[in-house]
Amino acid sequence: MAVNSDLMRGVAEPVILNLLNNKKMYGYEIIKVVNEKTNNAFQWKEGTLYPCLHRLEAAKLIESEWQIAENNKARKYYTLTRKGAAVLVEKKEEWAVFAKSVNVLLNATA
Amino acid sequence: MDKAKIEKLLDNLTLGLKTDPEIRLDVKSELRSHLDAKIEEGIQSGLSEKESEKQALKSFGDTIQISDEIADANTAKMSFKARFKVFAGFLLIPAVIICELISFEHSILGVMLSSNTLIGPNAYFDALSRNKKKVSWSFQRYTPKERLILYGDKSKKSKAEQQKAIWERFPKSKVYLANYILTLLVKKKDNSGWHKKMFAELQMAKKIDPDNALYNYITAGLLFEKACKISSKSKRINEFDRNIYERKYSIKIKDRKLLEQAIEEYLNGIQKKHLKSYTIVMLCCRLDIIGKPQNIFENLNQIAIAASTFLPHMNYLRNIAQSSLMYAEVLQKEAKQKEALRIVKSWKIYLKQITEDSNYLMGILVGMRIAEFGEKRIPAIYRKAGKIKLAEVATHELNKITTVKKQWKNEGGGLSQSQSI
Repeated sequence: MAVNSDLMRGVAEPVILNLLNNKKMYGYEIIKVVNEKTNNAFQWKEGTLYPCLHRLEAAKLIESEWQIAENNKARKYYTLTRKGAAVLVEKKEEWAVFAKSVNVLLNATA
Repeated sequence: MDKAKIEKLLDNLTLGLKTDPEIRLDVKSELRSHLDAKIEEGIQSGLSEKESEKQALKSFGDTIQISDEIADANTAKMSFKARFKVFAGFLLIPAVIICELISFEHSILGVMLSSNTLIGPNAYFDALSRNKKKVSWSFQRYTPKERLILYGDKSKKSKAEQQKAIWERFPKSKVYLANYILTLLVKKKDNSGWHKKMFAELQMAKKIDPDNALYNYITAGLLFEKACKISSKSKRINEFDRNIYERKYSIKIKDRKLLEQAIEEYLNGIQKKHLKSYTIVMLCCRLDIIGKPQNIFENLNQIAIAASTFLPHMNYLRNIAQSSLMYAEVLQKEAKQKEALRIVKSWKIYLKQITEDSNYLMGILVGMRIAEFGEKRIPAIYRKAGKIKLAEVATHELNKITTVKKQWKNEGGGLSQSQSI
């Protein structure tokens, strides 16, 4: 089941930050990893990813660099900044509280 | 691969970045590399090139929405670039010019910064002469006498006193005398102290240069200023052309006795041999001293000296024309024909004197303005006095002067109309 795009909006940024916390990645790779890891429950599209990446870069949470990949093609790789790493910690905590609260509410029997 | 289709999509996706070609190119390259990877993967998974391309292009979804979102996400970066461009354009380029100047002449910045009056062409001129120790080697070539003529005696407090010093050094020079009197007039103050001093200096100047009407006219102008007020109202007479209007003048007499005194002073000026403001002679004296500019600063100095040539008397000459003629109309209404005609008859000489002293465009324009003012009034006064022949002559002569302006205006108007078509 695909996740509603409205729900996706709030989680896209912390998800990207978390992926980049592990390694530098380029746009297409991020989409592939997200869709694979969620068994296509998250059907991220280019229109979701790139504005999000550019917003994070403008906020200096990530930074980009053009590099030549193994196939000799130029790719724009993104890496997490120190500021981004700090924000990621906050976002994870925030999400934990949010998810716990939503679960409580959704499982509540009035 | 249909490259045209891909480029069209990329163009659409980055439409919001068109004001910043550099960012747009970067985002386009990123999206192009994404599309290439996706198409290649589609082919590897067994899709035809065409099908893979179709799916890759489709995956971008609503291009208008994405274009907006990409533009929003890059706004901060674009604004920074825009700010940088402004900085580069307005600060860096002048900074480079200043650096060039400093490298050419190191003392210029100090000279400029130490000036109290950085506004106006005199700033450089003032700063240069006030800071003698900082004055560059290029100005040291002037003798003390030349420096005095160029800048006046900068040890004196007021501008007028500085210029007076030139005349005091060469008391026989009518040129330096006029230069001092005109500087005093430029620095006019609305207090009795200034007026008292000005009238005393004008009296002195009339004795030293008895053939020159300049001092009579400045005296008359100052008296007219106190004695009456001329005001005007403009009324458009053609609703389709805002440039065609009629100006109605009125005179408000504040002090009749003073007004008559002003008229006498003006008529005394008419009796004089000539009107000489010597402004062009003074400028030539100074430019002769500078000679051919040897560097950019002497060039600037030349411009500053030319630009600081003031013509404060021109305004008084115009006011005299208006006030005297309007007073003549008042006198005629009071049936004082003889007194009115005495003023009107002086006009021809007055206009001739002004024209002969007009070495500047400003002088020519003021002369024309005066002629325009009298064009209808003078013949009307003559006609009312029964002097029909004199009215005709005046109409003809004043027309000769004003026609030049009318022709220029009419032809100019015709040109602007044809351009708009």
